Amino acid sequence: MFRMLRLEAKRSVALALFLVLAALTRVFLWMDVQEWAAAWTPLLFSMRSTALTGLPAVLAAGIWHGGRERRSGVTELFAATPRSGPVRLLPAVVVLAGAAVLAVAAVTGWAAAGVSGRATFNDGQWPLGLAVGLLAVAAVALLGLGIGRLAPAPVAAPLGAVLLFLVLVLGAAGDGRPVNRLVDTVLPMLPVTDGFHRVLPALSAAQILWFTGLGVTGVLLAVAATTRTRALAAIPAAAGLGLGVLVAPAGAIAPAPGATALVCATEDARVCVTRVHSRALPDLLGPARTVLDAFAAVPGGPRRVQEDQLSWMLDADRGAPGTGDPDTVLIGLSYRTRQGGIRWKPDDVRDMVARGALVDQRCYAEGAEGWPRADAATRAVTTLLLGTSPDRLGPEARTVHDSLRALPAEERARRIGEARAAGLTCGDPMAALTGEGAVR
Amino acid sequence: MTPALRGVVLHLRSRSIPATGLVFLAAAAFTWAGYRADDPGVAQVVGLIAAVLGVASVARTLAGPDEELERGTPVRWRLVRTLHLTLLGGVLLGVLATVHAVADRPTHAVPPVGLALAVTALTGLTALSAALFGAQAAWVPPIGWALLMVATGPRPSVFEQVLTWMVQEPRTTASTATALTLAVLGTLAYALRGSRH
Repeated sequence: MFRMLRLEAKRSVALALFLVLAALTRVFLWMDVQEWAAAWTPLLFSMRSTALTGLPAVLAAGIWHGGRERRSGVTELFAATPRSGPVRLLPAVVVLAGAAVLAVAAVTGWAAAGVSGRATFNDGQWPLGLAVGLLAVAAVALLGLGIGRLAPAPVAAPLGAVLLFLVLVLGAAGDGRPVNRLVDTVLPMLPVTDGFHRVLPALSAAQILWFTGLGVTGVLLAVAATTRTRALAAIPAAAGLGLGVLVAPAGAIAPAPGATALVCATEDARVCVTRVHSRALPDLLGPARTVLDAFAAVPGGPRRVQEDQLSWMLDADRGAPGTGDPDTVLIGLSYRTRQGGIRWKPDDVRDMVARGALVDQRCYAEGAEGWPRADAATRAVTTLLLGTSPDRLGPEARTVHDSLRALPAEERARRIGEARAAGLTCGDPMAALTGEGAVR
Repeated sequence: MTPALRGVVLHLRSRSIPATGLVFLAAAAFTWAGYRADDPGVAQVVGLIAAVLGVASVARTLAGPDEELERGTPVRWRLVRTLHLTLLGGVLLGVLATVHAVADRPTHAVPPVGLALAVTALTGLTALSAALFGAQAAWVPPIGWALLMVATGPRPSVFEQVLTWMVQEPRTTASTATALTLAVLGTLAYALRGSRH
């Protein structure tokens, strides 16, 4: 048997498939390496997203391989050998599905090895999700073999690849993807998720049923000899899909409270980030303390700096703008390095925290009315409190900066406090700074 | 039936042109179906993938069942191959352009120049691959490259523009030059050498 496998591996597209698929997975997985380099759920999402380019290649290879005998006109010759059809097919099944699964597994294992050294939160559910990704690869390889035996025309392989790609593109994660159990179950790519969320195991269970059914259908198609058995071969896929949709959860992505639990710095409990991003804490600590200390003299100033525990992508229900806790500065850490740190320079982190300390930025969506005034007020106060150079301020901000600076310290702190109160409740911070009007 | 016409019919049959025509019609149907999505981005991507689908069936037609036998016949094969390739690419382009014209929604259509370049350059690349690797496997480079371009989307640097020539909108010099090179090079290589055997 081992000799047969070796022969099959040498004389089929298996080696080419292995190399192409490994290269595709490596390239497309590493395209968003910053997202997953230090967290498991993003790795799971990115790994499953590589199905978009990987699976069409797997399907084409399967169809090509499945049609080989009939294209070469040796079906009758091989049928005369004293081995049954399924036995003769076994090496092809093992080699082709094995090459595809090994390629994806090797690259994913490489990525996972890197993540395991850096991840700070592990709910233990990602191996199941990665296994479903591998199962999908095996199922599509087997389906390709079956289709190839059914339709040996040379044009079947490219057509199959293009059609599968079309389906996957339309179902790719994004605004256009419909949210329902059928779509979540059928598509190998996950709905959009991030480090603050987890993929429900029920979805993985549903997809195991569906992809197992699909793989069995592929094998049955490959060994089916009559029209009737070919029609019957569709039953496992249909049954797998039906059961899968029954098992699948209505919403496949759920918040992961363990990942968003706050971890505070040991040196300064006022600065906290989520557990899943706790490698970003050292990068945040210094700038956050600078801002907190700068605001210390301001009446009603901020007392804490925390990472926002809600995802900007996925959590729609964030409360109305201007209703947040005034003691806490919430910041989002969406850009991280491969080590899990913050990708911005310390000065930029400091300015971001200072901006968050002065206004609720959701009140002043960029380009909206009130944004230029709020922005100028923020820049003026930030420059003043942090003692940075005012040379780069715009004219409006510069005027306010200079007039604030000329005020006695107590009056200055009072106005900044009022501006902050206005900025956090969607008021006009500039008016408070210039003393034009009382706080709303 | 005159002998010349009979020769043409036999040629078309031996290259499975009727089946290829069906694939072209399927590509047209997908383009049309793409318009049912109200999202212009979706319609354009579907239109582009439909063009790739059409080209996928071209490789098969670039060699007959027995190349050795054909080459021994007193036919001007270079002319036949040139006509075969240009007519097939032209028909595919015509079918797809007609669908876009009938649908008449320029916001949703693949831009005409982009569509023309995609079809001609992918057909040219198919022909080039046929000359290099044989008609059987000639679909691999054009289809693989085209799908990767759709998957990655346009990229900024000149080298990347060359790599993603099909999805560069608005067209850039580098991407257009790449497409034209592929079309010309492929047609020349196939016309002169035919499918590798």
